[in-house]
Amino acid sequence: MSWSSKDRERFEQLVLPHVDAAFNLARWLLRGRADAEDVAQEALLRACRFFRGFQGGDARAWLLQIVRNTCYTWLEKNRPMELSMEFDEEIHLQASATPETLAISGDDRERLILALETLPPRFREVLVLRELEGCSYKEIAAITSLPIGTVMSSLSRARRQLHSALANSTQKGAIREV
Amino acid sequence: MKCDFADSLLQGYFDGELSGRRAAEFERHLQHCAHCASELVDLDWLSGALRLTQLYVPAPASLRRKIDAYVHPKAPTAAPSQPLLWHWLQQRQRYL
Repeated sequence: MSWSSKDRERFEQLVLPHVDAAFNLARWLLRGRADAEDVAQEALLRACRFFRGFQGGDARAWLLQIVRNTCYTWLEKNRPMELSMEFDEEIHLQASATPETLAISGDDRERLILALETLPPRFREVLVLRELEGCSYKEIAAITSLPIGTVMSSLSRARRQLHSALANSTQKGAIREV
Repeated sequence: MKCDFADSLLQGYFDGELSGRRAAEFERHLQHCAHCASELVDLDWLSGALRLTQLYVPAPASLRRKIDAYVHPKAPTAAPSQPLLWHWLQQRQRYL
Protein backbone atom coordinates (compact mmCIF):
# COMPACT_ATOMS: atom_id res chain seq x y z
CA MET A 1 0.00 0.00 0.00
CA SER A 2 1.39 3.42 -0.86
CA TRP A 3 0.68 6.25 1.53
CA SER A 4 2.72 9.08 2.91
CA SER A 5 4.51 8.86 6.25
CA LYS A 6 2.14 11.59 7.47
CA ASP A 7 -0.91 9.41 6.61
CA ARG A 8 0.71 6.46 8.34
CA GLU A 9 1.45 8.48 11.44
CA ARG A 10 -2.11 9.84 11.55
CA PHE A 11 -3.54 6.35 11.13
CA GLU A 12 -1.40 5.04 13.97
CA GLN A 13 -2.42 7.88 16.26
CA LEU A 14 -6.14 7.95 15.47
CA VAL A 15 -7.19 4.44 14.46
CA LEU A 16 -4.80 1.86 15.92
CA PRO A 17 -5.70 2.68 19.57
CA HIS A 18 -9.14 1.23 18.75
CA VAL A 19 -8.03 -2.22 17.57
CA ASP A 20 -9.36 -3.77 20.82
CA ALA A 21 -12.74 -2.11 20.27
CA ALA A 22 -12.79 -3.40 16.67
CA PHE A 23 -12.04 -6.97 17.73
CA ASN A 24 -14.45 -6.91 20.67
CA LEU A 25 -17.36 -5.78 18.47
CA ALA A 26 -16.53 -8.42 15.84
CA ARG A 27 -16.23 -11.10 18.54
CA TRP A 28 -19.70 -10.38 19.88
CA LEU A 29 -21.36 -9.92 16.49
CA LEU A 30 -19.89 -13.14 15.09
CA ARG A 31 -19.84 -15.11 18.37
CA GLY A 32 -16.37 -16.56 17.85
CA ARG A 33 -12.73 -15.53 18.12
CA ALA A 34 -11.39 -17.06 14.90
CA ASP A 35 -14.05 -15.51 12.65
CA ALA A 36 -13.73 -12.25 14.57
CA GLU A 37 -9.99 -12.10 13.96
CA ASP A 38 -10.40 -12.62 10.20
CA VAL A 39 -13.22 -10.09 9.89
CA ALA A 40 -11.57 -7.50 12.17
CA GLN A 41 -8.41 -7.83 10.08
CA GLU A 42 -10.38 -7.30 6.88
CA ALA A 43 -12.12 -4.27 8.41
CA LEU A 44 -8.82 -2.75 9.56
CA LEU A 45 -7.29 -3.21 6.11
CA ARG A 46 -10.35 -1.48 4.65
CA ALA A 47 -9.86 1.30 7.17
CA CYS A 48 -6.27 1.67 5.92
CA ARG A 49 -7.47 1.91 2.33
CA PHE A 50 -10.27 4.36 3.07
CA PHE A 51 -8.30 6.43 5.56
CA ARG A 52 -7.64 9.29 3.14
CA GLY A 53 -11.42 9.77 2.99
CA PHE A 54 -11.66 10.12 6.78
CA GLN A 55 -12.31 13.79 7.37
CA GLY A 56 -11.51 13.72 11.10
CA GLY A 57 -13.90 13.53 14.02
CA ASP A 58 -14.58 10.39 16.04
CA ALA A 59 -12.09 7.80 14.76
CA ARG A 60 -13.46 5.04 17.01
CA ALA A 61 -16.99 5.48 15.66
CA TRP A 62 -15.63 5.59 12.09
CA LEU A 63 -13.66 2.36 12.60
CA LEU A 64 -16.50 0.57 14.39
CA GLN A 65 -18.86 1.51 11.56
CA ILE A 66 -16.50 -0.23 9.12
CA VAL A 67 -16.18 -3.24 11.46
CA ARG A 68 -19.95 -3.48 11.83
CA ASN A 69 -20.53 -3.30 8.06
CA THR A 70 -17.86 -5.92 7.43
CA CYS A 71 -19.42 -8.21 10.07
CA TYR A 72 -22.89 -7.86 8.55
CA THR A 73 -21.56 -8.60 5.04
CA TRP A 74 -19.82 -11.68 6.46
CA LEU A 75 -23.00 -12.80 8.25
CA GLU A 76 -25.10 -12.31 5.09
CA LYS A 77 -22.70 -14.54 3.20
CA ASN A 78 -22.02 -17.18 5.85
CA ARG A 79 -24.95 -17.22 8.28
CA PRO A 80 -27.88 -15.41 6.65
CA MET A 81 -30.40 -17.06 9.01
CA GLU A 82 -28.82 -15.28 11.94
CA LEU A 83 -29.70 -11.86 10.56
CA SER A 84 -33.39 -12.68 10.41
CA MET A 85 -33.35 -14.29 13.84
CA GLU A 86 -35.87 -13.00 16.34
CA PHE A 87 -35.74 -13.36 20.08
CA ASP A 88 -38.33 -15.98 20.93
CA GLU A 89 -40.29 -14.56 23.84
CA GLU A 90 -42.27 -17.79 24.06
CA ILE A 91 -39.34 -19.97 24.97
CA HIS A 92 -37.98 -17.51 27.48
CA LEU A 93 -39.58 -16.64 30.76
CA GLN A 94 -41.07 -13.22 31.18
CA ALA A 95 -38.55 -11.26 33.22
CA SER A 96 -39.89 -11.96 36.64
CA ALA A 97 -36.66 -12.86 38.37
CA THR A 98 -35.16 -10.35 40.76
CA PRO A 99 -31.51 -9.33 40.83
CA GLU A 100 -31.07 -11.44 43.95
CA THR A 101 -32.26 -14.62 42.23
CA LEU A 102 -30.10 -13.80 39.17
CA ALA A 103 -26.96 -13.17 41.23
CA ILE A 104 -23.91 -13.62 39.02
CA SER A 105 -20.99 -15.56 40.44
CA GLY A 106 -17.74 -16.39 38.69
CA ASP A 107 -19.19 -19.71 37.56
CA ASP A 108 -22.16 -17.97 35.97
CA ARG A 109 -20.04 -15.98 33.52
CA GLU A 110 -20.72 -18.63 30.88
CA ARG A 111 -24.44 -18.25 31.53
CA LEU A 112 -24.23 -14.53 30.86
CA ILE A 113 -22.24 -15.10 27.66
CA LEU A 114 -24.78 -17.63 26.41
CA ALA A 115 -27.69 -15.33 27.29
CA LEU A 116 -26.07 -12.46 25.39
CA GLU A 117 -25.47 -14.70 22.40
CA THR A 118 -29.14 -15.67 22.19
CA LEU A 119 -30.04 -12.08 21.31
CA PRO A 120 -30.45 -11.10 17.64
CA PRO A 121 -27.31 -9.31 16.33
CA ARG A 122 -29.01 -5.89 16.15
CA PHE A 123 -29.82 -6.02 19.87
CA ARG A 124 -26.52 -7.62 20.83
CA GLU A 125 -24.59 -4.86 19.08
CA VAL A 126 -26.28 -1.97 20.91
CA LEU A 127 -25.67 -3.68 24.25
CA VAL A 128 -22.01 -4.34 23.46
CA LEU A 129 -21.49 -0.78 22.24
CA ARG A 130 -23.20 0.73 25.27
CA GLU A 131 -22.23 -1.61 28.11
CA LEU A 132 -18.81 -2.91 27.08
CA GLU A 133 -17.56 -0.08 24.87
CA GLY A 134 -19.20 2.77 26.81
CA CYS A 135 -20.46 4.53 23.65
CA SER A 136 -22.94 7.39 23.92
CA TYR A 137 -26.29 7.17 22.11
CA LYS A 138 -24.93 9.62 19.53
CA GLU A 139 -21.90 7.39 18.87
CA ILE A 140 -24.07 4.26 18.65
CA ALA A 141 -26.32 6.09 16.18
CA ALA A 142 -23.28 7.02 14.06
CA ILE A 143 -21.91 3.45 14.12
CA THR A 144 -25.21 1.71 13.36
CA SER A 145 -26.73 4.41 11.11
CA LEU A 146 -29.88 4.36 13.28
CA PRO A 147 -31.77 7.40 14.59
CA ILE A 148 -31.11 8.10 18.30
CA GLY A 149 -34.74 7.23 19.16
CA THR A 150 -34.26 3.79 17.60
CA VAL A 151 -31.00 3.33 19.50
CA MET A 152 -32.87 4.03 22.74
CA SER A 153 -35.74 1.66 21.95
CA SER A 154 -33.32 -1.05 20.74
CA LEU A 155 -31.37 -0.78 24.00
CA SER A 156 -34.59 -1.04 25.97
CA ARG A 157 -35.64 -4.20 24.12
CA ALA A 158 -32.14 -5.66 24.24
CA ARG A 159 -31.90 -5.21 28.00
CA ARG A 160 -35.32 -6.70 28.54
CA GLN A 161 -34.48 -9.69 26.33
CA LEU A 162 -31.15 -10.25 28.05
CA HIS A 163 -32.85 -10.16 31.42
CA SER A 164 -35.41 -12.72 30.23
CA ALA A 165 -32.77 -14.98 28.68
CA LEU A 166 -30.76 -14.83 31.87
CA ALA A 167 -33.79 -15.58 34.03
CA ASN A 168 -34.53 -18.53 31.77
CA SER A 169 -31.00 -19.91 31.97
CA THR A 170 -30.91 -19.35 35.74
CA GLN A 171 -34.05 -21.40 36.12
CA LYS A 172 -32.68 -24.14 33.85
CA GLY A 173 -29.47 -24.12 35.91
CA ALA A 174 -31.45 -24.41 39.12
CA ILE A 175 -33.40 -27.33 37.70
CA ARG A 176 -30.15 -29.06 36.68
CA GLU A 177 -28.70 -28.50 40.14
CA VAL A 178 -31.71 -30.08 41.88
CA MET B 1 -48.15 -2.78 35.71
CA LYS B 2 -46.37 -1.21 32.78
CA CYS B 3 -45.58 2.49 32.91
CA ASP B 4 -45.61 4.72 29.83
CA PHE B 5 -42.49 6.41 31.07
CA ALA B 6 -40.54 3.15 31.22
CA ASP B 7 -39.59 3.00 27.56
CA SER B 8 -39.41 6.65 26.69
CA LEU B 9 -37.34 8.07 29.54
CA LEU B 10 -36.05 5.28 31.73
CA GLN B 11 -33.21 4.12 29.44
CA GLY B 12 -32.10 7.67 28.74
CA TYR B 13 -32.17 8.53 32.44
CA PHE B 14 -30.22 5.44 33.39
CA ASP B 15 -27.60 6.09 30.71
CA GLY B 16 -27.26 9.77 31.61
CA GLU B 17 -28.49 10.83 28.17
CA LEU B 18 -31.40 13.06 29.20
CA SER B 19 -31.21 16.83 29.33
CA GLY B 20 -31.31 18.36 32.83
CA ARG B 21 -34.96 19.33 32.39
CA ARG B 22 -36.01 15.85 31.24
CA ALA B 23 -33.96 14.17 33.98
CA ALA B 24 -35.64 16.34 36.65
CA GLU B 25 -39.04 15.48 35.14
CA PHE B 26 -38.23 11.78 35.36
CA GLU B 27 -36.97 12.09 38.95
CA ARG B 28 -40.28 13.68 39.99
CA HIS B 29 -42.08 10.77 38.33
CA LEU B 30 -39.78 8.26 40.03
CA GLN B 31 -40.86 9.44 43.48
CA HIS B 32 -44.28 7.85 43.05
CA CYS B 33 -43.80 5.10 40.43
CA ALA B 34 -42.81 1.75 41.92
CA HIS B 35 -42.60 0.18 38.45
CA CYS B 36 -39.93 2.60 37.19
CA ALA B 37 -38.05 2.40 40.50
CA SER B 38 -37.94 -1.38 40.18
CA GLU B 39 -36.92 -1.21 36.49
CA LEU B 40 -34.09 1.12 37.41
CA VAL B 41 -32.76 -1.40 39.95
CA ASP B 42 -32.90 -4.13 37.28
CA LEU B 43 -31.06 -1.96 34.77
CA ASP B 44 -28.37 -1.17 37.30
CA TRP B 45 -27.95 -4.83 38.18
CA LEU B 46 -27.77 -5.92 34.53
CA SER B 47 -25.27 -3.23 33.63
CA GLY B 48 -23.12 -4.13 36.64
CA ALA B 49 -23.23 -7.83 35.77
CA LEU B 50 -22.08 -7.13 32.20
CA ARG B 51 -19.17 -5.04 33.40
CA LEU B 52 -18.14 -7.14 36.40
CA THR B 53 -17.94 -10.37 34.45
CA GLN B 54 -15.34 -8.78 32.17
CA LEU B 55 -16.89 -9.72 28.87
CA TYR B 56 -14.69 -7.29 26.94
CA VAL B 57 -12.45 -9.31 24.61
CA PRO B 58 -9.26 -7.46 23.64
CA ALA B 59 -7.57 -8.07 20.29
CA PRO B 60 -5.13 -10.99 20.15
CA ALA B 61 -1.45 -10.26 19.54
CA SER B 62 -1.65 -12.10 16.20
CA LEU B 63 -4.14 -9.53 14.85
CA ARG B 64 -1.93 -6.63 15.98
CA ARG B 65 1.07 -8.20 14.24
CA LYS B 66 -0.85 -8.59 10.96
CA ILE B 67 -2.05 -4.98 11.04
CA ASP B 68 1.42 -3.75 11.94
CA ALA B 69 2.91 -5.66 9.01
CA TYR B 70 0.37 -4.02 6.69
CA VAL B 71 0.95 -0.51 8.06
CA HIS B 72 4.75 -0.93 8.03
CA PRO B 73 5.54 -3.08 5.01
CA LYS B 74 9.18 -4.15 4.97
CA ALA B 75 11.14 -2.96 1.93
CA PRO B 76 11.86 -5.98 -0.29
CA THR B 77 15.43 -7.15 0.17
CA ALA B 78 17.52 -6.95 -3.01
CA ALA B 79 17.60 -10.39 -4.58
CA PRO B 80 20.99 -11.53 -5.87
CA SER B 81 21.20 -10.84 -9.58
CA GLN B 82 22.69 -14.27 -10.16
CA PRO B 83 22.06 -17.61 -8.56
CA LEU B 84 24.33 -18.20 -5.58
CA LEU B 85 25.94 -21.27 -7.16
CA TRP B 86 26.90 -19.28 -10.28
CA HIS B 87 28.35 -16.53 -8.06
CA TRP B 88 30.36 -19.08 -6.09
CA LEU B 89 31.74 -20.66 -9.28
CA GLN B 90 32.86 -17.26 -10.57
CA GLN B 91 34.66 -16.55 -7.31
CA ARG B 92 36.43 -19.89 -7.48
CA GLN B 93 37.58 -19.34 -11.07
CA ARG B 94 39.29 -16.12 -10.03
CA TYR B 95 41.47 -18.01 -7.61
CA LEU B 96 42.19 -21.01 -9.83
